[in-house]
Amino acid sequence: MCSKKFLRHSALPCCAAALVLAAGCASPSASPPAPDQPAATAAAATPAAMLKSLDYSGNQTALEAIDRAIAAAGTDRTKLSALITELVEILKQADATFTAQQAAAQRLGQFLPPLKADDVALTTVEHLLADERLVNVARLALEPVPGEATDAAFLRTFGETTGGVRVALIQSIGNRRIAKAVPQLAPLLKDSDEPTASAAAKALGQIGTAEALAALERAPNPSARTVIEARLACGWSLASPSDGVAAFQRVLTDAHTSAAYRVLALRGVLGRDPQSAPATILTTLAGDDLAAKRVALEAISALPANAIVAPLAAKLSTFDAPTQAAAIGALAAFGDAAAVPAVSKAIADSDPAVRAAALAAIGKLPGTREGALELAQFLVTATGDEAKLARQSFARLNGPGVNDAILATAAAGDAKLRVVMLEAVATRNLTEAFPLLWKIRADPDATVRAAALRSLGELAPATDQAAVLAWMISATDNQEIARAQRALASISLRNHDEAARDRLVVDAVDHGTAEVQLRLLPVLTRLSSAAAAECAGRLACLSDAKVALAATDTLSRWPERNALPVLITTAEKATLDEARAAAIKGAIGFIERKRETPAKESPDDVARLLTIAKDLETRKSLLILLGRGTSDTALTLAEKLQSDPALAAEARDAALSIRVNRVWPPIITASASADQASRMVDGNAKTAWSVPATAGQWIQVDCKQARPIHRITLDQTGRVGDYPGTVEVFVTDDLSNPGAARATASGRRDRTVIDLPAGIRGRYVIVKSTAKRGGGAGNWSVTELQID
Amino acid sequence: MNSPEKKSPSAGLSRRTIVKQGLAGIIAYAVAPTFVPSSLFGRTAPSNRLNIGFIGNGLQFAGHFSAVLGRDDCRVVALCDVMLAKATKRRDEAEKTYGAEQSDGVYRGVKAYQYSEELLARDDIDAVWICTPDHWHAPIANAAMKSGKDVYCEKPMTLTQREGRVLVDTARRCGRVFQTGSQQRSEYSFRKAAEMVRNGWIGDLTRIRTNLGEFPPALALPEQPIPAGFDYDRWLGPTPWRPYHEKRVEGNYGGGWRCFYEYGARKNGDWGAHHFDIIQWALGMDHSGPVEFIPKGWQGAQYQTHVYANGLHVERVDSGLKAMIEFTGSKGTIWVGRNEVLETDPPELAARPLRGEETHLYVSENHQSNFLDCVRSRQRPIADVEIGHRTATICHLNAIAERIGRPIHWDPVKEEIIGDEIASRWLDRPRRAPYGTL
Repeated sequence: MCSKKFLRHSALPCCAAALVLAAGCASPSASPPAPDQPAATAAAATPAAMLKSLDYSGNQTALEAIDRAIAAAGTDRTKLSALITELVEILKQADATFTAQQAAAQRLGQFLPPLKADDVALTTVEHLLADERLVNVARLALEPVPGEATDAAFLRTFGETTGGVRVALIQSIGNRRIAKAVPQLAPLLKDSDEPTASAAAKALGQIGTAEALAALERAPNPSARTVIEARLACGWSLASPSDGVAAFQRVLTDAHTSAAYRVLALRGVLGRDPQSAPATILTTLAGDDLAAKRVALEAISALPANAIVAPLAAKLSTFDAPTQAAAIGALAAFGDAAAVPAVSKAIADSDPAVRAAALAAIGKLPGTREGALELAQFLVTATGDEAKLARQSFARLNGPGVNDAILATAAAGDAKLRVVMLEAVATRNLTEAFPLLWKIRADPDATVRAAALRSLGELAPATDQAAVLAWMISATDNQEIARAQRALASISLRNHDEAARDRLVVDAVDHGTAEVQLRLLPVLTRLSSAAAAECAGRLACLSDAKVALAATDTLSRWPERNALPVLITTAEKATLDEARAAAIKGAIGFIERKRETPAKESPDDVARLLTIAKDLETRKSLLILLGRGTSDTALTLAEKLQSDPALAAEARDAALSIRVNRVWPPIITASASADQASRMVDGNAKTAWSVPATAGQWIQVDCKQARPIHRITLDQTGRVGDYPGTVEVFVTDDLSNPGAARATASGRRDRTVIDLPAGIRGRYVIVKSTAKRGGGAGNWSVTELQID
Repeated sequence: MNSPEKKSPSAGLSRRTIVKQGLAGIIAYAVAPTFVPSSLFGRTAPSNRLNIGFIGNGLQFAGHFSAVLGRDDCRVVALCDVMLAKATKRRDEAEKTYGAEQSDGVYRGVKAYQYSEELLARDDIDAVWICTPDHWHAPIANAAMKSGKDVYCEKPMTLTQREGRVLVDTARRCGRVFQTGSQQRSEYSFRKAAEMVRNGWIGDLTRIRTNLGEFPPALALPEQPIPAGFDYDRWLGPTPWRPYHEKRVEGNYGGGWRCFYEYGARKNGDWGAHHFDIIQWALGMDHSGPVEFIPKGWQGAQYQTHVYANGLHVERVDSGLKAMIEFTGSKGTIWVGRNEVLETDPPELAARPLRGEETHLYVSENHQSNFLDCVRSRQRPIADVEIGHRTATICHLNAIAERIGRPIHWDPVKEEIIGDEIASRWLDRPRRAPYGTL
């Protein structure tokens, strides 16, 4: 019987049908009525009966049904009328819960049409307006409903109320801007109840008519905060701009007005009298009232460019330096050519703030050939912050002749100026300069050649890989070689075909001379692909010591972990002992830099290195790394090595560490942001514990069992500046008596590694900051905390 | 093309690698030195630092507080939270940080307040950070600007569409600087993506998709005892009375008050305030907006969608996108997200510098610094109040369409809903007295 077909053909009003569907034909999964709900709810006799027992918790199906019905009704006034009847009924019922009445009123406010004085909805809700408990409920229903009858209901009730109810109604009257209320509100400005007087003033300001303003100006204290704010509001809303200006002028000239409000009145004058605003702004900027200057500067942006740019530019040099700097910023925002001469002149100002503002602004203003040459010439000798600002402006300078000037000047002339222009070729994406850039390969000046290579590195397509490789191989100047290496890497990385990115370089290495191989090693590093790493590995196994050691060193500093297996293979297979030793050292470095403890990878890498390494200290280091693991393989190896007398102690420590790792994570607490503390051991470098980098902050780690502690690593990957000041490390089994600090260290950017003396064991590790970081407070963050 | 598993054409190309190492990137990344004249608009040394107050000391506050605490050009002088204990705890942290200065005769301590009007009554505070739940943004921001403070207001800027227009008017009429906390505008990747779109590098736009995620449903919560020291009535403020429950007031990125329409616009407000904002920027619509809002499910609509006057659809796709925002055009695609995610098809677009004659957008490397610089220079910040309002309008209109279950047609010039006076009611909400007016 509850099919949609039945509902479509039912004689029931659609909304009521929807409610019945929700109430009586709820799906089996619908929540049962809450145990404390009245029986009527469960019985679901009528929709109103259901809703009238609504509570804030428990079964909300009645409310959900109403909302579905409202949505289904859409803008259909017939359907909505039926819903209004249902909802008003709830407001009439004395036994309806507050929750139900609030919900009904809130929904009525969403779609009650303009009402007539005798509408049941209006008479019902008006009755509630005077009820201290329900006034806000009634306001939900009536305040949004337009129409004079509703206005009248508020005015009638307001006259009969006091205290909080009256304040609530005054606020509704203000929000509805009921101009007829002025005679009733005006006397309340003298009311002894401060909230009432304030609410009346605010409402008069919202109404904003001449009558409201007159009432406010006649108030006992027309300069009181709430009254003057209302007067200012009227100044903006009066229909006549001249009346508005006059209202603001009266505030400005009122001796009792505070400076803060006089400034607001000034802003009002500027806003309502745009004709005289430019002159007023210029006068204000020439004065010494800082608060007024702030407002005048902000007001500049509200004016049309043709009204303010030329006069402001003309007066610019007459202002004090800080005002000039701020005004230049305002001029730049217009992007108007009329500002260019004044701003260009300011680039040579004696005040650094003015110069900096002008340099930042000039790129936002229309450019010319001459302007481009001046800016380039400035860049030849500029340094520091001014050079940065000038470069940023030069990169975006736009106007006729600018690009042509750059290309022409880059082709010939003073080498320093050519270098500046070649840089602009890159920053401005001037691909039309390609013929010139290739031609420069034959230029006698090495700095110019290097600059051209830099631009090619920025702009050249992947098809130019071979040409840049050839240039790099033939280059004679060190700076030129370095630029060519970077250019080759950048161009290769732009290749759409990922598999082909490193092919040309790898082929050149495999078939090149030793000199070519050495030149291409930095390129392989920048490419950092697996194929590039394997290529470097092949070099590391050569008998040419210079090449092999350079390749091993390159792999040890490789940016990606794909170098680790190559290093281990090199350690096993390299021709030269030195290369094998360097490869082992490089591999250990890679494993040490791993972010997580316990290590997620298999212990195979460490085991392989232990097999290869002959040096005792290296083997001991490897056992510490083995102690990061959790696997049976790692534990078995550590236990096996305990039979080696030279390594027995370290192997025992490793085995113990592995057993403790198996109950990871430790219990970790902190002096502050304790809810974030577990992020230090979650194996996720993107989450962090973070506190101000001040003295006294601490981290406490409970490893749950005593274990050897060789080293603590505080990793703040991705938050390189969030390092601590000075930290002390305590290791103890007894928190009540942690003893003396076992190590002290200064925080380091990126990672702080604290090595402890040999033989330290304990269950608890405490890292305590004893001094704030210099150079400002900032944060101390730890993304991962490692214990070795 | 959009499967998260499929590698993009530029896979393996880190934007950091190709852009930061590039010359254009180095110049773009160079921290623009401040040229702001602190001597004019601050005070005399050593207190030419700006005095800052924080209102709302919960979840969203923490990052701003740490950042401001670490700066030498401003001082936190006041904290305020309706749970006074939060403010006093943070006051203690601030005093500990500034402790070294207490003996120099300049440092005047940090004050903790429970009520914003106490903080706003101080005339020595230059700017306030508003980090409250959304329903308090507009009332406090409005009062702050009238009391002479510049405002950094967390996003979304408002609870209702109408509140936004009031805040724009107040900011202009009071000559205040107002930064909306949509800080993605101050991230290089988002700016670069917007510039690529603006300059037509991917041709004519055919579709934009964004991922906002979803919140769990708002719960019907029983009443719990109000914790000592917490002014719960003030926390509710202008919203309809509801019984206290810890889940209602909880600051939680995955739930808490963010789940309730009473206090925000759910995901449309929470993440829409970021991603819709970037889309507005990319389209050059900062002073305008879409013309139609279609709720998910309307006549079979698979996604919530808003439509610009040129017919461009922005779809809210809550899963499966490879980045937070995807711009698709006739010549390519851009994927952009936080943590420097910027991928393009064709891939070389991401590293291509802008030409001088192309559109260059407002550059800010740090949202907080941009605000503080503008407090001094009196320029408009990168997420000025009008921008924040227009973005919040999109958040609110999408939420309204979802709640009334039908499309909304919008006039972005008049800022009116067209032909649906019932939907128009939703542009504002009655406010509970005594918090009954803005």
